[in-house]
Amino acid sequence: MNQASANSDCVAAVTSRASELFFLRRPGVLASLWALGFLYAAALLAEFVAPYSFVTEARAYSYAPPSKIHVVHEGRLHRPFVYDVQAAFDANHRRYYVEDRTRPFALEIFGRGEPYRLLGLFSGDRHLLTVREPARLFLLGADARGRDIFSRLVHGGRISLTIGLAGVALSFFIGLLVGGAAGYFGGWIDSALMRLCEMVMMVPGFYLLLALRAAVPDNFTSVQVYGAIVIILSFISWAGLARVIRGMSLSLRERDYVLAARSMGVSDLRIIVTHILPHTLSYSLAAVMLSIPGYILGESALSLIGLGIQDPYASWGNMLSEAMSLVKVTFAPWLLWPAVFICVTVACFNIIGDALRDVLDPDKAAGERS
Amino acid sequence: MSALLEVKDLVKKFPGRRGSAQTVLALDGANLVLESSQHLALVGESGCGKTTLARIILGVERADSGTVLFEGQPLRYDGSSGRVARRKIRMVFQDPFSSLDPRFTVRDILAEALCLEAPAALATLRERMREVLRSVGLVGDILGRYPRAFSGGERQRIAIARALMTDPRLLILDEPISALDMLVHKQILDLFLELARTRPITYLFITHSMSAARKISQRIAVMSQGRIVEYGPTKQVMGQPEHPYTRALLAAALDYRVREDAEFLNGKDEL
Repeated sequence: MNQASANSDCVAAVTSRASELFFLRRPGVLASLWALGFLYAAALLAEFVAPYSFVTEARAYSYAPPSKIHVVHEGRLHRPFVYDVQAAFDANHRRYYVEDRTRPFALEIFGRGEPYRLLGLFSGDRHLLTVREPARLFLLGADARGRDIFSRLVHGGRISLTIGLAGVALSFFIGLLVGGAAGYFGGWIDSALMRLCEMVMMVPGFYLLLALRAAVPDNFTSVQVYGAIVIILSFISWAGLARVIRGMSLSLRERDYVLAARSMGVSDLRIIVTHILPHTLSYSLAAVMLSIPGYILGESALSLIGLGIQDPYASWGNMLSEAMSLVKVTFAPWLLWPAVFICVTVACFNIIGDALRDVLDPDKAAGERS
Repeated sequence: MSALLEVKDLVKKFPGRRGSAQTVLALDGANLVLESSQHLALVGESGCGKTTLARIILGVERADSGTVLFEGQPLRYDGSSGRVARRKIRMVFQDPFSSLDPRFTVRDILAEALCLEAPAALATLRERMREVLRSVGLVGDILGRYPRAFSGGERQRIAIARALMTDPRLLILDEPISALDMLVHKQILDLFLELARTRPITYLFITHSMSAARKISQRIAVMSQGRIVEYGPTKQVMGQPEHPYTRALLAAALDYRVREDAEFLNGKDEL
């Protein structure tokens, strides 16, 4: 048996390395990684990537459509440019925008624009893509107050993209410890912790979200609200992870090396952290990837109904709340862009999580446990 | 001279299948005495309570009633006396593939054994690890390697090294060779004898193998259904078994009467 399992250990080691490479070749995984990479990079460098800040208003451009990018001015080829637009009203008093075709405003890469402090550290006034005043560049259109939707999306990504990571980190921590402890100790500790999990899981998630949000004071600053949302979302989702981890540690605690550690006087916490939880890692890593979208959607849902991040701060959820009326969406369909970003991000995390789960399948990882 | 280990009237029940009121009586008043340097072999069929007894002595399981005296002191695992006992009683497990955490390096495995000791300087620690590894026949720079890099016999040596880190007085060997291939049996048994020559160590050797029991132990205890049914010097028990169960056990070891003693002492296992 010893020789056989030694061999199977080697085989498992080799195949796991091969499948790590294979992981990247799965359809969509590489594309998802790239897409997420772009989104996170854009959010990190939001001040530079976005032409404007998330609060800059231009009331004269309320619901301005996405800027048309031209290359021909007065019959001659011109470097890519936009025309300034001006609001006009038709016979039904409906607003529409006409281009002022007299003066082209060239798109400038690294052009000067609004001054900013990148991440509060580096000051500058260069932007990835901008146009000179008085024209305005609306890559994805403008909202009711003439704020650039693209700029707000990029800034909002900071909240919407990080809330998943922060929430997962917290609920992961709670879920691993609770699940590990329940499975390891067993007995009444197990029963008590699992009943607690079930109580949390029993309440429909969204109502629990609302109830918990109601318990948070409404005069919080945006940073405090962000923290509160992270805590609320993780409070809901740790239970599922804890239950699975508990099941795994129930079997892991029967391993001889756990018995050996106990017999040598190693403390329970140390056994859980060093001998039990590392062996659940392959599962929990995939579980984490698959639970990030839940946070993004949760934040969006809270912000959508006005309980999350408050205007003027941008998050993908509260930007969508502007698109709640049918009239506005038919008149300015570009208000739906945040939904596209949410869908893409959620899909990317799901694709990567699915692939990770297949690669780190507990049955395949069982080789090293022999 | 007082006994190293004295086990008195140990009783341990396990709950039966879920829903049934029946309990499984793993230990039914087990008594055992271990004199210092008188290695004791504990033999008996599977499920007779050998491993439960070992676990209770080791302190990872609690007895329902009865006492365990170690060096004349009752074993308690919740205070400082328990910490002392845990340093002095160590165990080598049956399967070296599951007794070593695959994610631990040899260094981690050996360091873990010292978790009750006062923290020592890194250089001292490393020297101590090298010394213990050398004493179990593992040389070279292996501290940074993982268990999967070793064969079964080598892994069992690492497990033995882990048990030796704290200079234990009592080493419980729970079928330490039955998961290893035949060629390694003799080497590991010889290692145990060698270690006992150079240190004040006493074995409680749990085994199925009569020949291995004969090779290692001065005394033998035969266990059946949670009780010690026969106990005495190895030669006497094997030569004139008194209890019918012992006779059955010896008869089951087919080649016991066929082969000569010399052959047993060469470490060949039955079958």
